[in-house]
Amino acid sequence: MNPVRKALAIAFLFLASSGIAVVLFLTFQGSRAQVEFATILPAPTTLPDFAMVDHTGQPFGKDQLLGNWSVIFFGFTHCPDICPATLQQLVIARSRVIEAGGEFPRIILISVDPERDTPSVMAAYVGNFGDDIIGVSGNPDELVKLTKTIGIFFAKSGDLDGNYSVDHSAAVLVINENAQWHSLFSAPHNIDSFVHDLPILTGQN
Amino acid sequence: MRFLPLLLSLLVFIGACEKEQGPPVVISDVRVLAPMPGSTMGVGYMSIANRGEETITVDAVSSPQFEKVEMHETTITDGISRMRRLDHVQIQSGATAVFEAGGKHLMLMGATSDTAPGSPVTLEINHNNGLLIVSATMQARLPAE
Repeated sequence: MNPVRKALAIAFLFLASSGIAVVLFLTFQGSRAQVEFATILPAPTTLPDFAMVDHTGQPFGKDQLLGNWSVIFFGFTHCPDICPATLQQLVIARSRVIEAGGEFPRIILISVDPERDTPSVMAAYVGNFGDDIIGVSGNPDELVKLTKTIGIFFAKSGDLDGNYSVDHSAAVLVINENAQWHSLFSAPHNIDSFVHDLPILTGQN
Repeated sequence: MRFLPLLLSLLVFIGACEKEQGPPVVISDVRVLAPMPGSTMGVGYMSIANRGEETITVDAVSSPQFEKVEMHETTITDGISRMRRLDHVQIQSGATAVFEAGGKHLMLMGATSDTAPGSPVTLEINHNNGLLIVSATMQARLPAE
C-alpha cells in the first residue's frame, strides 16, 4: 500500500471509530436520567445510633431507617411557614411520583423543638399531611447525637414575644435503605426537583 | 336636553379620572391559612402596594379572630432557616411589599373564634397614614394540591 493510501485508511479508521464512540456515548447518556437538583455525597455516611420516639410513642432510631429509603426534614410544629410548606411540597411530590407509577421514600419530620413537640403534638401535626408521615421527637441529647453527625444546625431564638422560634437547617436529607445519609436537597425547595430526582436517587430510573 | 349627552359624558369623564387616581394603598392577593388541627396559629400572606407619593410604614396588624398578629420574616442563609419579628415594614412610593411563603408573613397567634377553613377573617393593617381593613376567608393549607 502506498503511504498516501495508508494514511487515508488510518484516518478513515480513526474517524469511524470516533464516530461510533460518540454514538455509543450519547446513547448511554440518553438512557440514564441524571440527578439535577440534589447533591449526592461522595460516600454515604453511616448514621450514628440514636434513640428517639415516633408520633405513636414507639422507639425510633437507626434500626427504623433500615430497609427503606427515607427523606428527612428537620423542623418544628410551631413553625408556621417553611416547615409546613416543605412537608406539603414533599407530599405533593409523592402523589405525583406515585401517580406516575413510581415509589417515593418515606417522609419523616424530626423535631428540633423536643421541648414543645411531644409525641402527641407530633401526631396531631403530621396527621394533617397524611396518615403515613412519621413525626419523630425525643431526648435533646439524642437529637444532638444525630444532628452533629449529619451537619444539621439548630438553635433556639428568643426574638419573638413570649415565644421562641428555632433556627434550623432547611435541607431535606435522603437516607438510603442501609440507614446511611446518601444525598440532600438544599433550600429553597420546590416540588419539581423532588419529583425529578428522588426516583433516580432511589434507583428506580 | 341637548346638553344631556354632553353632561353625561362629562360625568363619565370625571368618574374615570377619579377611578384612575385610586386609593394610595392597595392590598391584594390576601390569603389567610387557617390553623391546622391541633394548632391555634395561622399564617397570612398578601401584597401591599403603595401608590401614593410618600413612603408608608406598616407598624401593626391585628385581627379580631386572633389574640395577636405579628409581622415575621423567614430567611434562608447558608442553608439555615431563621424567623424574625419585623417591628415595621416600610414601603416606598410606587413599591409593593409582598408577604409570601418563605419570606415576610403575618403570624396569627391564639385563635379566639371559629377559624376553621371557610370562616371569615378580618385583618386590620395600621400604617402611618391610616388604617386598612381587609376581609377574607380562612383557607385550608391542605389539600396538598
